Amino acid sequence: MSTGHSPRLGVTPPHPIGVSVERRDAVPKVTGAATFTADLAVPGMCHAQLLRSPYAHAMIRSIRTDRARAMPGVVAVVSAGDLADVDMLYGHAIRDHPIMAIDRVRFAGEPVAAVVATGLHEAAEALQAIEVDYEELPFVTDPMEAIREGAPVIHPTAHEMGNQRGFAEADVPRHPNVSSASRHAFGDVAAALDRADLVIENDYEYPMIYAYAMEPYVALASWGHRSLEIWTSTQHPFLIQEELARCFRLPLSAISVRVAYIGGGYGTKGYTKIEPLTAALALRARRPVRLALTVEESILTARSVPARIWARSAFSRDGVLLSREARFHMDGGAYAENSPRIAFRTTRRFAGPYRMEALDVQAWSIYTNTAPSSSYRGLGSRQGTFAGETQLDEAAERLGIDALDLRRINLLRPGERPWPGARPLDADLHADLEIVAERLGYGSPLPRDHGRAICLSSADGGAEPTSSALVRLHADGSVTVMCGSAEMGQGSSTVLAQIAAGELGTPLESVRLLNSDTSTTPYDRSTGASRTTTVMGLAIQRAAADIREQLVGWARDLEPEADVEAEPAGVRIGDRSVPWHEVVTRWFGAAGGEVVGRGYVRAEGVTAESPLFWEVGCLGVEVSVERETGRVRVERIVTLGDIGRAIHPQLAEQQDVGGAIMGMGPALHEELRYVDQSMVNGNLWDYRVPRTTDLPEIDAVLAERADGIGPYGAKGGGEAAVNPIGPAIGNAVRNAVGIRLRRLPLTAERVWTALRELESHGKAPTADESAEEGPGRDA
Amino acid sequence: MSHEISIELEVNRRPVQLVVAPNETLAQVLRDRLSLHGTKVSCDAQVCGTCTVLVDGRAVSSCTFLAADASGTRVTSVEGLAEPETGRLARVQRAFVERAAFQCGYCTAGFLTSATALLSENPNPTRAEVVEYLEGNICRCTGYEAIVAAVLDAADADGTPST
Amino acid sequence: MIPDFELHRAGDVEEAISLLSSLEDAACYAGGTELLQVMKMGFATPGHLVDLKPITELGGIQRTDSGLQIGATVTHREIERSPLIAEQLPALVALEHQVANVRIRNVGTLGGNLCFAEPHSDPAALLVACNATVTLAGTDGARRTIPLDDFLLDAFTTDREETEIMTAVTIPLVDRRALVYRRYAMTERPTVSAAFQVTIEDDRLSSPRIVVGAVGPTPTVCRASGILDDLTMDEAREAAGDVASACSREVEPMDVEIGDAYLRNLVAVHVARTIADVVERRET
Repeated sequence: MSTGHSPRLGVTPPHPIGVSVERRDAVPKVTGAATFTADLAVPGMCHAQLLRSPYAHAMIRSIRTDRARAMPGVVAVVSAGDLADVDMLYGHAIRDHPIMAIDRVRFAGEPVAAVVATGLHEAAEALQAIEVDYEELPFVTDPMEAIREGAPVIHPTAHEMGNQRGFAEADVPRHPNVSSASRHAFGDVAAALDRADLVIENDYEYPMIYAYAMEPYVALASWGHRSLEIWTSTQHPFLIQEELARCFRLPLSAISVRVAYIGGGYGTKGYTKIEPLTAALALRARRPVRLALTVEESILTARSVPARIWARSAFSRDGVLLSREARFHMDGGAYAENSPRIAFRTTRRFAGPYRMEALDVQAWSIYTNTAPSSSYRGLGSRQGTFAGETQLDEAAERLGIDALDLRRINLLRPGERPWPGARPLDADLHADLEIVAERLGYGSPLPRDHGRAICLSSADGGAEPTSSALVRLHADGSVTVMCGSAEMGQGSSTVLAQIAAGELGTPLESVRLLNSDTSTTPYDRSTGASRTTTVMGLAIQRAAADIREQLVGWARDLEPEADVEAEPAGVRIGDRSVPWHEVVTRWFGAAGGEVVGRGYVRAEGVTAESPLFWEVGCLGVEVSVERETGRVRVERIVTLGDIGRAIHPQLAEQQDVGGAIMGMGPALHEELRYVDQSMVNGNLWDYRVPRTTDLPEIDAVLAERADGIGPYGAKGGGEAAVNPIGPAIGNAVRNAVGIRLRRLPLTAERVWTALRELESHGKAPTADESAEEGPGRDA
Repeated sequence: MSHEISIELEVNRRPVQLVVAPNETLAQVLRDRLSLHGTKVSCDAQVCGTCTVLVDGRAVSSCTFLAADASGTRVTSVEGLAEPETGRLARVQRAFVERAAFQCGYCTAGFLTSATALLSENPNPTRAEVVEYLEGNICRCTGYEAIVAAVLDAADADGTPST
Repeated sequence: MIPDFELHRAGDVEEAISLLSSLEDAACYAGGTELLQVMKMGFATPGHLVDLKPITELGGIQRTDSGLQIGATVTHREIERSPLIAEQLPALVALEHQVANVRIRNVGTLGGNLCFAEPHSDPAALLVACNATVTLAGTDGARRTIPLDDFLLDAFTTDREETEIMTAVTIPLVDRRALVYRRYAMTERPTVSAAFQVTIEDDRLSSPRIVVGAVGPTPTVCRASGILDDLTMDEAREAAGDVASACSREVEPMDVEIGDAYLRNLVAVHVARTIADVVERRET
């Protein structure tokens, strides 16, 4: 680690910060005791099954449910017509998503009707008896086709905006199938292009993929008297609470969104999914309802946002980056979901951690008659980083400068602002790059058909800083932390408990953490964007400070004449150390009692500047290519997590290992495909995710320079490795065998085809097979 | 329509008698009839390994194994790995705890039962053998590194099968 | 979810056939890894399932006068771990080791695999290469044995009558035979496979038989194998490239997802590898 530039580097955080303690979910998970949503049952619970449209775009002429209603075990058969008392549209960015299809369907797989029955088999049988009359409409599944004149308009009527948009639309002309347009620009691009010695432009493509959280979407809804309790596998219980309150016309206080252990999230369990639907079914059935989707249904509920990208960079002959431009056409699917925010983030994340005098990035999220999209780890960064980092290597070749040197010339230094008004860079990427280069053995000889590359990324992390925490100090000195963060495997329950223990001097075993339940834990905007350690960590620190302040006040109440001061785990009254719990019980004058500390975080003070932190990635790979088959094998990965302070180092490293392997998937194999109206490989027999046998030698390093605003200098982590690995593999393949592919995944077939072209024409092809239709620069 | 079938089997060393429908799967019986929720279902298509349980020591996909076909067998799910009297964790479970060889935990039961089957057949596997055996188990969170390390930790150096 | 059905256990071959004959809409199964899967997916809805697992005659691996006999209900895993097969036909052990995943191998049977006739099947290609035969039992005690190559008619289609069950697969044992198998899988099922059987005597090849699997609806016995007949090992090494190319031109790919040129390249590469395995004496 280099010497840091933060004053906090020299301060030793309290125990157990920085200790890789046993995860508190370890024993529950290895014994099978950990409860997930599908493990829950309530008395009288029924099961729901969904009837889905076979057509990509069609009007619904009629739905006949009489026969289904009469079948054994059926409690309710529900379609939109049965939900007149419900506000049917939801959507946090654009309120365009009906709880169930109303008058038309917009993607093959869209729910059209539902059966609630006493058993799953009964529900499935009754589904067969529902008759739906469709009138097919012209459909469009390709985003570039969707924005052509004359394309079928997927949302003919304008929609209200959702309340989580959080950004302004770019004022540019748009096709009706564009759900949002974002732009991020500064400086004078034309002037930079004019001066440049090298201008390089190309088209790139990032695929549509599936995160495959192994626990599919599932929810269990129960109505009380004008109140709703819903258990759901979600990262965003409070955002869902807001949507449900609005849809069902109830106050927030009437809606409880409760979260058990989550079997994988990665962003795809963020924002509203099947909760309004499950609640609507329970409302009509007048019984609790569990809706549990299969993996195939989950793929049709949320897949990632792919991108067609045009990018242009301008350089001086000695490698100074002058300007970057990009246009992103992003297929958001039939409903906008989070694609507008993803388009927005994309414009902020494309430039990378580099200095330049001008930038102009535009991104459009586009409606198509395909499954809706959702967030997915590294949103808006993995797509643009693939284009930007690939283009950097291409520029390096043209300039005759080493790819790492080209980065060194242009890499921002700590304290530089990536764009005017942005938080200064809080990471020392120069140092990070040297660490990765050294560990990878960059520059040392390689066997034939092996290649290396190192890529970087930076993303404006943390989302919004709205958060709160309650910490309760009990009469015996033990502590309960109540915070809305969702434990989805990233270890938040452990890390946040460590922070509470450290702040209060309480043994970790005496700290209990209650999480993600809107009925008991106070508001937290979301778990995602790598924000939890930073934002919820700050909230817990503030709640702990609030406890100390109150207890000092209580001690002064008790001993007005004495000198009272806070000290670790207690107060000093005069020359005596008094443990906190003694202050509590004396103040109440009884054996029991407790002190409740509150911590609020909003955009002020350290969290005023945006982004809250820069999530930077620095990752190097070595690959080998088998020419005969085109198979690419990743031999080594070195990935660096520049996270400021690792509250739990083992956990932080493992996030990066998981992220790197997850990122290998779209780099080499993963791609969802549409043929005609339907997704053809939306199942695990035909969609290949990384396996143990893909595992390379992997070295995950942490850099801790205490340069973040989070507790003890922490910043967010977990999304960094997934962003640079795609272009790192692509650039390494180029270095290995001389082919340049600008479309992921680098399937064996594409690699082999490019190698054949290279061999037969004697030169590297400058366009890959997908270049027949580039997106150009305008929507 | 279907005749129900009487089955007798042992689940986690306890005798069980049930009447099941022919189309009931072993996963459904474990989860819905016996309230053993440790076994999860993910892909429901024999690919991901999440639902792995041991039937007479053999790893099977419980999502596609008829409960009726388990009659007369000894079934072990994740709840049956620890010592029944004391609850002491099996060596492979302790290794997963120490290595934090999990994150969301949804695939964990399947990896533990699969690893148990591997180590009973091959008490001292090489890293390559562990990797190969577990190729049929998917994990999305960990990137597998910690899992492979944990299974190797659990393997006994002198060849004694781990509990 | 598996749809409703009635379950019947058959105690012996005659009972199984009698059940298949008398019950309308019945299917037999042993491991169920293929059948239960397609039932879950809604592609098959038999009202009755006849379980063949209790029938001891259908199990067992033994050496007979005709060769190596593998009972229809023997699991992939049993074959993978059989000392007899390891000794007599190690290529089959190596193949079974690669089938699907260990759970499917623990439960799925060779007979079930061949009767299901999934084009992307591993065992079929190798067994056709070594001239395996299958024995079918029918009504009235009838038994017939036919080459596997004739049994597999088309994708998911075999010569088995609805009232027949497969009892065993028999692989003739041939002296001085080399048998190798190579496969490549891009997703769960093999994308391409190649099996090569040949007799080698005094450095000379005879009865060469190359079979390409997973590409066409059934395994393709390549006529181009004949090029290798009566060649020395060195000559075979020289000819390998041409033979492999010729084989790649003989297949009729079903797959529309993978480009034709690439698929044929994979065929050529893997055929060439099987030939190399033999001439470099790396056969397993």
